[in-house]
Formats: sequence, structure tokens, C-alpha cells
Amino acid sequence: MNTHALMPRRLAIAAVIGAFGCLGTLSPPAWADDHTIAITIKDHQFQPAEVTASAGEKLKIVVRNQDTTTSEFESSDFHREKVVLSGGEIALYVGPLSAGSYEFFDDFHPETRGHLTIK
Amino acid sequence: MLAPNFAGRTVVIVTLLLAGAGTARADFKVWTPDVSKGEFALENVGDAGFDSNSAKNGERSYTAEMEYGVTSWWQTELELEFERDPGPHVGTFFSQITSENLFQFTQRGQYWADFGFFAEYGHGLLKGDPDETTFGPVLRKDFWGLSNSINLFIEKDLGQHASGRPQFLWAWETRIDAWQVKFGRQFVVEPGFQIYGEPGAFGHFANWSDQDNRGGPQLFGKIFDIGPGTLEWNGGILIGMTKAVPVVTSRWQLEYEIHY
Repeated sequence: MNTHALMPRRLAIAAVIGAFGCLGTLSPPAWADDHTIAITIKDHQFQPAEVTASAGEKLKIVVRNQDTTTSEFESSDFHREKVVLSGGEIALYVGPLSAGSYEFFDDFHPETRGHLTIK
Repeated sequence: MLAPNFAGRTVVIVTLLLAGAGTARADFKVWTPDVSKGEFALENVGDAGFDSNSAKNGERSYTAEMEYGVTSWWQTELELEFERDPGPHVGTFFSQITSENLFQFTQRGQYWADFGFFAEYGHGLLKGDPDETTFGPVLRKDFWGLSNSINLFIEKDLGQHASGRPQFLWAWETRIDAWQVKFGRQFVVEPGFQIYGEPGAFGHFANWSDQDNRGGPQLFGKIFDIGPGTLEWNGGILIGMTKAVPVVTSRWQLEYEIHY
């Protein structure tokens, strides 16, 4: 077996896997205590529709659907989407986010919208 | 007379499934570790290869797929695959039926990276074609406004016509979330790129010039509230990095999520 011929291929595989792994070390560390935000979907409205958090916080958003129809909690601003079945509950992890206003909405009922304000 | 909403849904469904029906190959799709219980969608993935060398020109592939989120961690898809091999005077064939399954192990953003696993079983329909299984980890890491995903797969032929050694497949995708542009409430788009590699069988990788390696810029977008659902799309070109593949390959992925 020609080990010299195999070396570049093995290095290539290791480089692809290692590069992806190393990218993780460049990101900011996770925070130990997540700030939990609870949102309820009722009568096609988010309750509350306006929520706030602090910049640099890691957030856990818990969404409960009290309607009889299916919803999908989604945000293009913080890149999350998850179907929430009637009577169901989902949890999403977001952030840390920088200061600003981030819109979220129900993709199944587009008029249902809210904002996450980061201060 | 059919109710308008039923007729509208039927038109959308038929149009999406038949989009590009015609010719061959390609799984130019990067999986991300996202499963949503109750999500129901139709999908079309396709590619077309172009090269001045007639032997490498004309590669085509299309899939028609239905996906469903069975649980909060398991999504399953049924895929019908059509393909045309490159070269002159080559037909298009319904080549394979595949069961694709995605498993989500962690919630996005909960830990330092997102982890999932992919596994499929494909039944070859053409004479002399083997069945196949493909499986492996699906990983994603978000940082600096970038969303980076990698698939590391093993593909193994099965059955009477199996070729033998398992093959290594990999794919990488970066989306530049920080450059996302929204047009009103209905349209959102962002740029990125994808790279696909097929070095060959484990322990017997082909020479670089004989490998199937392609990569290039892509656009990723969504159209909300279109008919009875949302259309998530991505597409672009892949530049052939080796002599074994077409100079340019166009690829696309259309996923129509039906609201019910």
C-alpha cells in the first residue's frame, strides 16, 4: 500500500471534518442560564405580541397553541420556524442577539404577528 | 363543482410535482437538522449539466417528493427519482423510489452546534440497477451571520447488482443570513454557496480529476402566503472542479409547505 498516495486523501477528509469542528470554537460561548419567554397563540393572536430581552442573552422561546387550528411560529429575522399543533407546545432557542427589533409571525395565519425587542 | 380552495390546492400540487419532469441523476440537496412535527410539504429537486463535450453534456435529474414530520425528531419523505445520463441519444427514466428519513437530535441554537442524522433506502427500478442505502450525520453551526451545514454520508449499493465498496459523499452549504433581504412581508432572499463532493469508495478514492466535485453560488428564499402554503426555494449553479463532471450544472430545490 502506497501510504504517500493515501496521505493527501486522508488529510482532505480530516480537513473537511476538522474545519467544521474548529468553526465551532470561534463562536461565542453558550450562556448557562437561558431567559425563557412564554408566548401563547389564542384567537390567532400572540399573547404577548411584544416581548423584550437584553442584548447578549440566550433565549428560550416557548410557544403554546391554544387555538383549534395548526400554526407555525416563524421568524425570518432570527431564522427559526416550527409548526405548533393545536393544543401543542414547542421550544425554540435564539441568540444571543444584538439590539434591535425582530419580527415573528404565524406562517399559517400571516396576519398574526409580534416583535421581539432586544435592548 | 369543486370548491375554489380545493381546485387551487390541486393545481399547485400537480404543478410542483411535475416541475421539470424529464431526465436523470443528482441529489444536489444539502440537508439541515430541522424537523417540525406535523409539517407537510411537497418537494422538487433537480439539476441540469452542461458541457461542450457531448459525452458530458445533458445530465438531468428530477425528484418528486412528499415529506411529513411524524414526530418532533423524525421526518420522512417518499421520493420518486427521474434521471438522464449525460451524452447524446440518451433517454429519461423513472429510476428509483426512495424512503428518506431525517432525525433531529438537538434544537437549533440550543448547543454549540446542531446535530441530526440522515438515512435513506432506495429501490432501483431500472434493469441492472442495485438498491442503495445512504446514511450519515447532518451538522450545522451558526456564527457571524452565517449558517453553515455539512453532510457526511456513506452510500452503499445493496442487492444482486451491488458494486461492492461503500462510497463517501459530502456536501457543504453556507447561507449568509446577515445579507438577507426582505421585500414586504411576502418575499425574503439571501445568498450563499454549496459544494458537493464524491471522492469515491472508502480506501480507494479516485484521482482528483476523476472525482465528482462541484460547487458554486446559490440563492435561498421564501415566498410566504402563496396559495395554500409557503414556497421555500434555493438554486444556482455548480462549477465543475474536475474533468469528470460537466463544466456547469444548474440546480434547484423547491419545497412547498402546505398549510392545513
